[in-house]
Amino acid sequence: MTEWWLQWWIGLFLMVSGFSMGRMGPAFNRAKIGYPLALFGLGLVFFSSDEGLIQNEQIASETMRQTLYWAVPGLIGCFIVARGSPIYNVTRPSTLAIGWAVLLLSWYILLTHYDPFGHDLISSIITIAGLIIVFIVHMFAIRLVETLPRSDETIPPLSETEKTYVASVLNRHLENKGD
Amino acid sequence: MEFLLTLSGSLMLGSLLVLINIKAAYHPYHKTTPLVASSLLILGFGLYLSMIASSESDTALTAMRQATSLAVNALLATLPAFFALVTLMMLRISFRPQ
Repeated sequence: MTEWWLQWWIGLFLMVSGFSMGRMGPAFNRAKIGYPLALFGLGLVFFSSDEGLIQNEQIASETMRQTLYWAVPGLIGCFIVARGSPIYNVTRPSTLAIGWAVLLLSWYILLTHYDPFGHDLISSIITIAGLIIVFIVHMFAIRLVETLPRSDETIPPLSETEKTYVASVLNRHLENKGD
Repeated sequence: MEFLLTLSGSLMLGSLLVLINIKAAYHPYHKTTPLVASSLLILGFGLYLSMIASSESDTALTAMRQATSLAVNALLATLPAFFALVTLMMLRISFRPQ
């Protein structure tokens, strides 16, 4: 038995790690590599070989590939629609039209090349129920952490790099307000 | 047995997501011990359930892979429904009154 299945799982883990790093905000060094890492993980998953995968992994791998074909244009379409939608009386009809064209293309791919009703609904409901259980336990653990006594150690001030970064963010936002 | 395997897979998948997030988003003032302990507890429970639900010849690792990939597949199957909701939201923001 070959160990190619590890590539698939490492790819999945890198996707989750990259997304977590990209969304974390104040960790300046890790946040920069977050989304590239997630994309690398996605590449590992997409181009992984089916050799060595067990039956359920093969099905999940194939479903993930099929999902990417419509989800990528779908995400791009949503992003463009959000950019083109009217905000404070400013409308961008051409951007909105392009966004909707990409979004409709994504729906076309979804409905013609993918069977959205072909999956077992019960499995999906059980999976969501399981994730909700984990979420509830996680919330209880967070509440427990919040009740723990606070540490008395002093938090060190921002480093020079962090100060420069915060100053640049504030400047950028204040300049935009000025416009 | 399929029900148990899917449930154990989702428990393991959820706790693995939490553990990866804790590791990736770590900072020195984060009190992670209770979160890691609860996630490991659920992971262990999920692994135990998956070993009950899978065939006797399967090792713990194979049972874990079977169950977790089943949960990944079931989660991917819900994406079209989420996409439909997101499309409705896009419709709402595209044509909202000024």
